Amino acid sequence: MSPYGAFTGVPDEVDEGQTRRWSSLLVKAVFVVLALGVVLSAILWAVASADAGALTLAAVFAVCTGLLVLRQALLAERR
Amino acid sequence: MLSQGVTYNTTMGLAAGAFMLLLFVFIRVVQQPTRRSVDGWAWMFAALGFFLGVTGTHMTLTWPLKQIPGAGCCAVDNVTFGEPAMFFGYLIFFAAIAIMRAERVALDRGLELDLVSTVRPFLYAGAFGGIGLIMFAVAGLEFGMWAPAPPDEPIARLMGTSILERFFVAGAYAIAGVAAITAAFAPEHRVVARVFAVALFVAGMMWTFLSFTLFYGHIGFFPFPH
Repeated sequence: MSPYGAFTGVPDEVDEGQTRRWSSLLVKAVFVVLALGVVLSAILWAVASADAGALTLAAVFAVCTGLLVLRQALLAERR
Repeated sequence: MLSQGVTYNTTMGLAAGAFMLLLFVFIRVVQQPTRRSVDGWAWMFAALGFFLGVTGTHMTLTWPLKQIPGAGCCAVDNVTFGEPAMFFGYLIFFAAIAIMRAERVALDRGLELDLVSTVRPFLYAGAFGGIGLIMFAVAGLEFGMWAPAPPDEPIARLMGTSILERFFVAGAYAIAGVAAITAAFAPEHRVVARVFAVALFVAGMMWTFLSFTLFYGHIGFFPFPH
Protein backbone atom coordinates (compact mmCIF):
# COMPACT_ATOMS: atom_id res chain seq x y z
CA MET A 1 0.00 0.00 0.00
CA SER A 2 1.35 3.43 -0.94
CA PRO A 3 2.37 5.66 1.97
CA TYR A 4 1.12 8.64 -0.03
CA GLY A 5 -2.46 9.92 -0.12
CA ALA A 6 -4.20 8.86 -3.34
CA PHE A 7 -5.60 12.33 -3.95
CA THR A 8 -2.99 14.53 -2.25
CA GLY A 9 0.36 12.98 -3.13
CA VAL A 10 1.64 13.78 0.34
CA PRO A 11 2.53 11.20 3.01
CA ASP A 12 -0.45 9.98 5.05
CA GLU A 13 1.66 9.59 8.15
CA VAL A 14 2.98 12.83 9.57
CA ASP A 15 4.95 13.45 12.74
CA GLU A 16 2.55 13.93 15.69
CA GLY A 17 4.70 16.61 17.32
CA GLN A 18 4.95 18.62 14.13
CA THR A 19 1.21 18.32 13.54
CA ARG A 20 0.47 19.62 17.04
CA ARG A 21 2.88 22.55 16.62
CA TRP A 22 1.49 23.55 13.23
CA SER A 23 -2.15 23.20 14.27
CA SER A 24 -1.53 25.40 17.30
CA LEU A 25 0.36 27.95 15.20
CA LEU A 26 -2.42 28.08 12.59
CA VAL A 27 -5.05 28.80 15.26
CA LYS A 28 -2.92 31.63 16.65
CA ALA A 29 -2.49 32.99 13.11
CA VAL A 30 -6.28 32.98 12.67
CA PHE A 31 -6.77 35.10 15.79
CA VAL A 32 -4.03 37.54 14.73
CA VAL A 33 -5.42 37.88 11.17
CA LEU A 34 -8.95 38.29 12.54
CA ALA A 35 -8.00 40.98 15.06
CA LEU A 36 -5.79 42.99 12.69
CA GLY A 37 -8.19 42.50 9.79
CA VAL A 38 -11.26 43.73 11.64
CA VAL A 39 -9.38 46.85 12.79
CA LEU A 40 -8.06 47.49 9.26
CA SER A 41 -11.52 46.96 7.83
CA ALA A 42 -13.04 49.47 10.28
CA ILE A 43 -10.36 52.04 9.44
CA LEU A 44 -10.89 51.59 5.69
CA TRP A 45 -14.66 51.75 6.19
CA ALA A 46 -14.31 55.16 7.87
CA VAL A 47 -11.44 56.61 5.85
CA ALA A 48 -11.89 55.24 2.31
CA SER A 49 -15.34 53.75 1.68
CA ALA A 50 -17.77 51.15 2.98
CA ASP A 51 -17.00 49.04 -0.10
CA ALA A 52 -13.28 48.97 0.72
CA GLY A 53 -14.02 48.07 4.35
CA ALA A 54 -16.39 45.27 3.35
CA LEU A 55 -13.90 43.94 0.78
CA THR A 56 -11.19 43.84 3.46
CA LEU A 57 -13.53 42.07 5.87
CA ALA A 58 -14.38 39.45 3.21
CA ALA A 59 -10.65 38.92 2.54
CA VAL A 60 -9.98 38.52 6.27
CA PHE A 61 -12.72 35.91 6.63
CA ALA A 62 -11.42 34.09 3.54
CA VAL A 63 -7.85 33.99 4.90
CA CYS A 64 -9.10 32.71 8.27
CA THR A 65 -11.17 30.04 6.48
CA GLY A 66 -8.13 28.95 4.49
CA LEU A 67 -5.94 28.70 7.59
CA LEU A 68 -8.54 26.64 9.44
CA VAL A 69 -9.04 24.35 6.44
CA LEU A 70 -5.27 23.72 6.38
CA ARG A 71 -5.34 22.99 10.13
CA GLN A 72 -8.19 20.52 9.85
CA ALA A 73 -6.55 18.83 6.85
CA LEU A 74 -3.34 18.54 8.85
CA LEU A 75 -5.12 17.04 11.85
CA ALA A 76 -7.25 14.83 9.55
CA GLU A 77 -9.39 13.78 12.54
CA ARG A 78 -6.77 11.36 13.78
CA ARG A 79 -7.59 9.58 16.99
CA MET B 1 -38.95 48.30 -10.69
CA LEU B 2 -35.89 46.21 -10.03
CA SER B 3 -33.38 46.15 -12.84
CA GLN B 4 -31.12 43.56 -11.21
CA GLY B 5 -30.75 40.04 -12.46
CA VAL B 6 -30.78 36.83 -10.47
CA THR B 7 -28.71 37.31 -7.33
CA TYR B 8 -29.32 34.04 -5.51
CA ASN B 9 -25.97 32.72 -6.68
CA THR B 10 -24.53 34.09 -3.39
CA THR B 11 -25.01 30.83 -1.50
CA MET B 12 -24.38 28.80 -4.66
CA GLY B 13 -20.86 30.27 -4.78
CA LEU B 14 -20.43 29.59 -1.08
CA ALA B 15 -21.59 25.98 -1.49
CA ALA B 16 -19.15 25.50 -4.40
CA GLY B 17 -16.25 26.98 -2.40
CA ALA B 18 -17.19 25.09 0.76
CA PHE B 19 -17.41 21.84 -1.21
CA MET B 20 -13.90 22.27 -2.63
CA LEU B 21 -12.33 23.21 0.72
CA LEU B 22 -14.15 20.44 2.61
CA LEU B 23 -13.18 17.94 -0.08
CA PHE B 24 -9.57 19.03 0.54
CA VAL B 25 -10.00 18.09 4.23
CA PHE B 26 -11.92 14.89 3.38
CA ILE B 27 -9.22 13.48 1.10
CA ARG B 28 -6.81 13.75 4.04
CA VAL B 29 -9.27 12.32 6.55
CA VAL B 30 -10.27 9.33 4.44
CA GLN B 31 -6.65 8.22 3.99
CA GLN B 32 -5.97 7.90 7.72
CA PRO B 33 -5.60 4.27 8.78
CA THR B 34 -7.34 4.93 12.11
CA ARG B 35 -10.17 7.04 10.74
CA ARG B 36 -13.76 6.84 11.88
CA SER B 37 -16.78 6.34 9.59
CA VAL B 38 -17.07 8.78 6.69
CA ASP B 39 -20.87 8.61 6.72
CA GLY B 40 -21.18 12.14 8.13
CA TRP B 41 -18.89 13.50 5.43
CA ALA B 42 -20.95 11.78 2.74
CA TRP B 43 -24.21 13.24 4.07
CA MET B 44 -22.63 16.71 4.16
CA PHE B 45 -21.49 16.36 0.53
CA ALA B 46 -24.97 15.10 -0.39
CA ALA B 47 -26.48 18.24 1.16
CA LEU B 48 -24.11 20.57 -0.71
CA GLY B 49 -24.60 18.65 -3.96
CA PHE B 50 -28.38 18.70 -3.56
CA PHE B 51 -28.37 22.46 -2.95
CA LEU B 52 -26.17 23.10 -5.99
CA GLY B 53 -28.16 20.68 -8.15
CA VAL B 54 -31.57 22.16 -7.34
CA THR B 55 -30.58 25.84 -7.56
CA GLY B 56 -28.43 25.16 -10.61
CA THR B 57 -31.34 23.43 -12.33
CA HIS B 58 -33.65 26.36 -11.62
CA MET B 59 -31.07 28.84 -12.88
CA THR B 60 -30.29 26.75 -15.97
CA LEU B 61 -33.95 26.57 -16.95
CA THR B 62 -34.52 30.31 -16.40
CA TRP B 63 -33.68 31.64 -19.81
CA PRO B 64 -32.63 34.32 -20.44
CA LEU B 65 -31.71 35.90 -17.10
CA LYS B 66 -32.37 39.60 -16.78
CA GLN B 67 -29.53 41.68 -18.11
CA ILE B 68 -28.02 44.32 -15.82
CA PRO B 69 -27.64 47.63 -17.65
CA GLY B 70 -24.00 48.66 -17.95
CA ALA B 71 -22.58 45.31 -16.86
CA GLY B 72 -20.99 42.57 -18.92
CA CYS B 73 -22.76 39.86 -16.96
CA CYS B 74 -25.51 38.49 -16.32
CA ALA B 75 -27.86 37.34 -19.05
CA VAL B 76 -25.83 34.18 -19.61
CA ASP B 77 -25.20 33.44 -15.93
CA ASN B 78 -27.64 30.56 -16.31
CA VAL B 79 -25.06 28.98 -18.63
CA THR B 80 -21.85 29.94 -16.84
CA PHE B 81 -23.16 29.61 -13.29
CA GLY B 82 -26.33 27.52 -13.40
CA GLU B 83 -25.08 24.72 -15.62
CA PRO B 84 -21.84 23.93 -13.75
CA ALA B 85 -23.73 24.14 -10.44
CA MET B 86 -26.32 21.69 -11.76
CA PHE B 87 -23.77 19.34 -13.37
CA PHE B 88 -21.33 19.17 -10.46
CA GLY B 89 -24.14 19.38 -7.89
CA TYR B 90 -25.73 16.15 -9.11
CA LEU B 91 -22.34 14.44 -9.46
CA ILE B 92 -21.50 15.40 -5.86
CA PHE B 93 -24.91 14.25 -4.62
CA PHE B 94 -24.75 10.84 -6.25
CA ALA B 95 -21.05 10.36 -5.42
CA ALA B 96 -21.93 10.99 -1.78
CA ILE B 97 -24.66 8.32 -1.93
CA ALA B 98 -22.18 5.93 -3.58
CA ILE B 99 -19.69 6.54 -0.74
CA MET B 100 -22.36 5.85 1.90
CA ARG B 101 -23.38 2.64 0.20
CA ALA B 102 -19.78 1.49 -0.47
CA GLU B 103 -18.82 2.03 3.15
CA ARG B 104 -21.84 0.07 4.36
CA VAL B 105 -21.06 -2.82 1.99
CA ALA B 106 -17.37 -2.77 2.98
CA LEU B 107 -18.35 -2.83 6.66
CA ASP B 108 -20.71 -5.78 6.12
CA ARG B 109 -17.95 -7.71 4.34
CA GLY B 110 -15.25 -6.71 6.84
CA LEU B 111 -13.28 -4.83 4.18
CA GLU B 112 -11.75 -1.36 3.89
CA LEU B 113 -13.69 1.26 1.93
CA ASP B 114 -12.16 1.50 -1.57
CA LEU B 115 -12.69 5.22 -2.14
CA VAL B 116 -10.84 5.40 -5.46
CA SER B 117 -12.91 2.75 -7.22
CA THR B 118 -16.11 4.15 -5.68
CA VAL B 119 -15.70 7.75 -6.82
CA ARG B 120 -13.62 7.27 -9.97
CA PRO B 121 -16.59 7.06 -12.40
CA PHE B 122 -17.86 10.38 -11.00
CA LEU B 123 -14.40 11.88 -11.38
CA TYR B 124 -14.27 10.84 -15.04
CA ALA B 125 -17.60 12.61 -15.60
CA GLY B 126 -16.32 15.60 -13.61
CA ALA B 127 -13.25 15.82 -15.86
CA PHE B 128 -15.53 16.59 -18.82
CA GLY B 129 -17.10 19.35 -16.76
CA GLY B 130 -13.62 20.63 -15.89
CA ILE B 131 -12.87 21.22 -19.56
CA GLY B 132 -16.14 23.12 -19.76
CA LEU B 133 -15.06 25.34 -16.84
CA ILE B 134 -11.78 26.20 -18.61
CA MET B 135 -13.73 27.08 -21.76
CA PHE B 136 -16.01 29.34 -19.66
CA ALA B 137 -12.89 31.15 -18.40
CA VAL B 138 -11.62 31.67 -21.95
CA ALA B 139 -15.06 32.74 -23.25
CA GLY B 140 -15.64 35.06 -20.30
CA LEU B 141 -12.38 36.90 -21.02
CA GLU B 142 -13.00 37.00 -24.77
CA PHE B 143 -16.59 38.26 -24.59
CA GLY B 144 -16.10 40.56 -21.59
CA MET B 145 -18.44 38.74 -19.25
CA TRP B 146 -16.90 40.02 -16.04
CA ALA B 147 -16.08 43.56 -17.08
CA PRO B 148 -17.11 46.20 -16.55
CA ALA B 149 -18.45 45.23 -13.13
CA PRO B 150 -22.14 46.01 -12.47
CA PRO B 151 -22.06 49.74 -11.61
CA ASP B 152 -24.62 49.42 -8.80
CA GLU B 153 -23.09 46.41 -7.08
CA PRO B 154 -21.13 47.24 -3.92
CA ILE B 155 -17.51 45.94 -3.85
CA ALA B 156 -17.64 44.83 -7.51
CA ARG B 157 -18.02 48.48 -8.59
CA LEU B 158 -14.67 49.20 -6.89
CA MET B 159 -13.07 47.32 -9.74
CA GLY B 160 -14.76 49.44 -12.44
CA THR B 161 -13.11 48.61 -15.74
CA SER B 162 -10.00 47.14 -14.08
CA ILE B 163 -8.77 43.81 -15.42
CA LEU B 164 -8.49 42.49 -11.84
CA GLU B 165 -12.04 41.20 -11.48
CA ARG B 166 -12.26 39.56 -14.88
CA PHE B 167 -8.97 37.68 -14.35
CA PHE B 168 -9.97 36.71 -10.80
CA VAL B 169 -13.28 35.21 -11.92
CA ALA B 170 -11.73 33.59 -15.00
CA GLY B 171 -9.00 32.19 -12.75
CA ALA B 172 -11.58 30.76 -10.34
CA TYR B 173 -13.23 28.92 -13.25
CA ALA B 174 -9.97 27.76 -14.84
CA ILE B 175 -8.34 26.53 -11.62
CA ALA B 176 -11.53 24.71 -10.59
CA GLY B 177 -11.43 23.16 -14.06
CA VAL B 178 -7.84 21.99 -13.54
CA ALA B 179 -8.86 20.41 -10.22
CA ALA B 180 -11.81 18.63 -11.86
CA ILE B 181 -9.65 17.28 -14.69
CA THR B 182 -6.71 16.14 -12.55
CA ALA B 183 -8.91 14.49 -9.88
CA ALA B 184 -9.63 11.50 -12.11
CA PHE B 185 -5.94 10.79 -12.67
CA ALA B 186 -4.55 11.71 -9.25
CA PRO B 187 -4.39 8.20 -7.70
CA GLU B 188 -1.87 6.94 -10.31
CA HIS B 189 0.63 9.78 -10.15
CA ARG B 190 1.94 11.66 -7.14
CA VAL B 191 2.67 14.88 -9.08
CA VAL B 192 -0.84 14.92 -10.59
CA ALA B 193 -2.24 14.31 -7.11
CA ARG B 194 -0.33 17.31 -5.78
CA VAL B 195 -1.49 19.49 -8.69
CA PHE B 196 -5.06 18.38 -7.93
CA ALA B 197 -4.77 19.11 -4.20
CA VAL B 198 -3.24 22.57 -4.76
CA ALA B 199 -5.75 23.48 -7.50
CA LEU B 200 -8.62 22.27 -5.32
CA PHE B 201 -7.50 24.40 -2.37
CA VAL B 202 -6.79 27.52 -4.45
CA ALA B 203 -10.07 27.28 -6.40
CA GLY B 204 -11.98 26.65 -3.17
CA MET B 205 -10.41 29.74 -1.61
CA MET B 206 -11.21 31.87 -4.66
CA TRP B 207 -14.89 30.84 -4.79
CA THR B 208 -15.24 31.20 -1.03
CA PHE B 209 -13.73 34.70 -1.07
CA LEU B 210 -15.90 35.69 -4.04
CA SER B 211 -19.04 34.46 -2.27
CA PHE B 212 -18.10 36.32 0.94
CA THR B 213 -17.97 39.57 -1.07
CA LEU B 214 -21.35 38.71 -2.63
CA PHE B 215 -23.01 38.31 0.77
CA TYR B 216 -22.40 42.05 1.14
CA GLY B 217 -22.64 43.08 -2.50
CA HIS B 218 -25.89 41.33 -3.35
CA ILE B 219 -27.68 42.93 -0.38
CA GLY B 220 -26.49 46.39 -1.36
CA PHE B 221 -27.39 45.64 -4.97
CA PHE B 222 -31.05 46.42 -4.36
CA PRO B 223 -32.25 50.02 -4.32
CA PHE B 224 -32.83 50.78 -0.64
CA PRO B 225 -34.54 54.13 -0.06
CA HIS B 226 -32.21 56.47 1.87
